[in-house]
Amino acid sequence: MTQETPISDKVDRIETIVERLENGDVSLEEAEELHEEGQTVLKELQEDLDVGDGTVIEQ
Amino acid sequence: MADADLSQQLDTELESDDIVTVEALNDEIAAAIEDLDNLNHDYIVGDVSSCREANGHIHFDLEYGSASIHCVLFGFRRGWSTVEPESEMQVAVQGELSYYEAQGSCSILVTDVVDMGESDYSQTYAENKQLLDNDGLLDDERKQSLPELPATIGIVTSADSDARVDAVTALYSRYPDVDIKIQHASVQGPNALEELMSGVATLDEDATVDVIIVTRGGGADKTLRVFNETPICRVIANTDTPTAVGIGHEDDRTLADEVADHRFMTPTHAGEIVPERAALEQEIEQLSTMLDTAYQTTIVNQLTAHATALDNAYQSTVKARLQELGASLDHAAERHIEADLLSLESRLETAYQALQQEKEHEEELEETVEEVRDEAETEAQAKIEATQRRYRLVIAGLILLVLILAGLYIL
Repeated sequence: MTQETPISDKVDRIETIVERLENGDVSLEEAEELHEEGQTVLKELQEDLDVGDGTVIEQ
Repeated sequence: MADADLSQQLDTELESDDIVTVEALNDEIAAAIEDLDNLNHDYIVGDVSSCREANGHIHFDLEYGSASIHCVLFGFRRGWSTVEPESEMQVAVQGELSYYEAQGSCSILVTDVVDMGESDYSQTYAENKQLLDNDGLLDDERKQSLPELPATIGIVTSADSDARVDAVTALYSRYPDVDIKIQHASVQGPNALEELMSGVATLDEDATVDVIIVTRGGGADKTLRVFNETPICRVIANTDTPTAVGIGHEDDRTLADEVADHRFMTPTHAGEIVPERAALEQEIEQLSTMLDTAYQTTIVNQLTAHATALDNAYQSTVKARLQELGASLDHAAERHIEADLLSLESRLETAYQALQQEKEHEEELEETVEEVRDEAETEAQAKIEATQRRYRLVIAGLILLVLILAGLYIL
């Protein structure tokens, strides 16, 4: 995931991670890796929301 | 009283005695119109435009060439004519000319409507639409998706219009962080087409602009027609940047709407181009909670499963060891018992044999005793018999003696 990755793709990725964790077919190591990945994507999502300064430029 | 004071004051200031207010002038116009018989015609022919219904009455503009006049068909008269006016119709209307003094405007109070076919402009509109369709500009397949969250939005609209204010307000009400670039353009009039095309093209060349909005507020149908012109439609359709168009009121549709990647109804609806930041933040918060909950549940379940497996393994091991020890104990006990039994059996056998020997010995002793007893009895019997014989001899001798004596006695 990068800053260019669409928000919907990031949301889908987190939902997939949650589903995998909820299915319970992951080891403790995998669960920790998935949780860390989800936290990273959530942080990117939060950063993605800050798109501009809210300025109006008359041309 | 106040009007008299004003008139006197103006007479003095303007050095004239022929001064009237707007109200007085409109009253004079209304009286003049009503008195002019040559303004009363049987039918007036024109194209229906801006047709709308309000409070049961139908309002529309009757246009021809560059001229138009407002008409109204009151609700109580709607059943009088065989047809009702609709946009894109050419009609002949019959009615009374009326002057509305409050606004200084003239209207036809319609009493009859005759359908004369399609309006001239509806034919022009159809031809333009066909041209765009022939070039595939109306195809849904060529429409671009709007960016989920545009950082910069370009707006082509009239800089001092309500539409500009409404669109910016609507965008910021949903997402206050976006940057907005306003490209001013006349949205009606002789310069509108060129300025609209230039505005869209300028924003399309700006690499920072993520989506282009073209919008204006409502107005008479005639004022919206620039958005049905093929040149502006082609510019909008061929931009590299995704476009969104919202022209007029909810029920206004233009060809610019058709070729744009997205259509919104009015400038107030421009906000739908961006997501609601509050909703996005809420969604992210929910995702965060779901992620933490799922992770914690997974960890707890995994640890519980491991603890259960550990307990099961421990219990299995202990059970197996106990079974093994039990088996060994049973085996040892069996061997011990067997040894004891063998020992006991041996001892029993020995004892039995000893007993048997004792019994045999006893029997031998008994036989010996019996023999001795028999011998003693025989010997005693013999002695008795011998004694008895002696006694008998004695007794017989005695008897004989007695008898001898008795005989002697007798004798």
